Amino acid sequence: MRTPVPAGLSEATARLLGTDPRQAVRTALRHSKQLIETGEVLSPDKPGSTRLALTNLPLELATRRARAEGRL
Amino acid sequence: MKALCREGVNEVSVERVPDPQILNKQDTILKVGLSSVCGSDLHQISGYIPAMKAGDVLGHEFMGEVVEVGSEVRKHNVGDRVVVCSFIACGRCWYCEHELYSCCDNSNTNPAITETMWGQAPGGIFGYSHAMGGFKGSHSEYVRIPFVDHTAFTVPDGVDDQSAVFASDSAPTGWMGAHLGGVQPGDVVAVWGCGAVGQMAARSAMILGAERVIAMDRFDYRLEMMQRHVGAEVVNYEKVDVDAVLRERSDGRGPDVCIEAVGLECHTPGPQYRLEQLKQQTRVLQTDRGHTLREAILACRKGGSVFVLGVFAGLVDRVPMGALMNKGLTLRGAQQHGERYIPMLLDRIAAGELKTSHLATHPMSLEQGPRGYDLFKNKKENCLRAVFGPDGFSPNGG
Repeated sequence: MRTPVPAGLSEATARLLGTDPRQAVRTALRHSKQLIETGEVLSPDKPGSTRLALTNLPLELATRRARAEGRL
Repeated sequence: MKALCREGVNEVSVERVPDPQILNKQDTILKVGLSSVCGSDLHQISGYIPAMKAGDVLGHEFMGEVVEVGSEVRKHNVGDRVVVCSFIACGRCWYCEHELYSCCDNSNTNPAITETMWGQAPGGIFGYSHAMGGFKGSHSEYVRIPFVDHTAFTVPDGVDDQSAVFASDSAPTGWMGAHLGGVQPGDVVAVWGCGAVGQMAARSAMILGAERVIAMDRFDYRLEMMQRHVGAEVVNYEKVDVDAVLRERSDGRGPDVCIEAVGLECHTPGPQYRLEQLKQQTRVLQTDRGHTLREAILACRKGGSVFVLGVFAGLVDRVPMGALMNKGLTLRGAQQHGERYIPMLLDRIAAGELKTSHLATHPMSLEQGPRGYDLFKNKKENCLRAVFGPDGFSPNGG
């Protein structure tokens, strides 16, 4: 958490690569809240039923970091 | 296992998909008994809710039998016949404690998408896009139920499967519209849409004491069902001036409570419909069509209440905010807080006070799913709801 917060182009790159430290904080906060309130961290459905398709790619990218992004 | 999947825009097919697994200690696996189509599935199949991937399993209104339980499940056992709320609720976050179950903080595993779009993320829902958690839907042989102690409810012996399945979504959604819309004894209530949710909203308003309930649609068979099974007054909005009729039947004031049960693909009478569609196709001028919402706001009496049950996803053009503000209206909407209502509704169904089984106009096997959606979407053969039974269809279970 002592890592400098990236900005501008480096922020966009870090968010895409999943190396922006704020993502780790968001994920940790969400997991902690779930553990405190429900006793476990809810797992996404897996294995999924979606198949490899070009049309799936943008959404795949969005959901890959879905617990690490957002307004939290 | 077999499942009915969305494969592309307006394309569904029965596919083989991986069996569900217990992934959390509070999960169960349910053997699906019956699973109904819903109007909101059509928004996803048509691409208006753009968070579906090719291969996603559809379906969120269902019931069945528990076949496997996680180690921390307390209220349900293998063999239980349960109806499952379409929205998954943890039962312990601030929202669940305030009975706003569809806003559950802990059940949407993809919160970033809706947080970015809407400010906060609603809860997770079965078969309802990756924006709402990406959970596999119920049009399948088996489905995983997270937080089952809070999300599933045992069906009383006196309630058959065909009645119980609608306690999953249509009935609690309709009840919520009347309840949170604030229906009081003696009220005049107007309902836009005579589909399953509209019928349930109208019946709920009656149970809550409404003096008159007036329901609108353009399909005669739906109007006839509303009249015959619910007992509401009906209006074909293509043949009359809706605003004038509603004023006439409410002592000139307008309805006390207006319930919109249509949503983002609503139809507009007259040539404006093409313009509405065109604006929607741009995805910039508007993403959702809003004729019924506008009409409800304009028709509602001063100081009245408008409740939005129909699903909206994004932006509606030309919302009459001037009318809303200057008439002192209350505008409210919600995805259904089913966990709040399902046990009470099952009791009412068992007591014969609330009739739901008639909604299943087209019972069929899961293999007939693509045909079921075609009938439902295109209003063929007087279809109100196609209901799939993975093991065939048996209204009494078994």
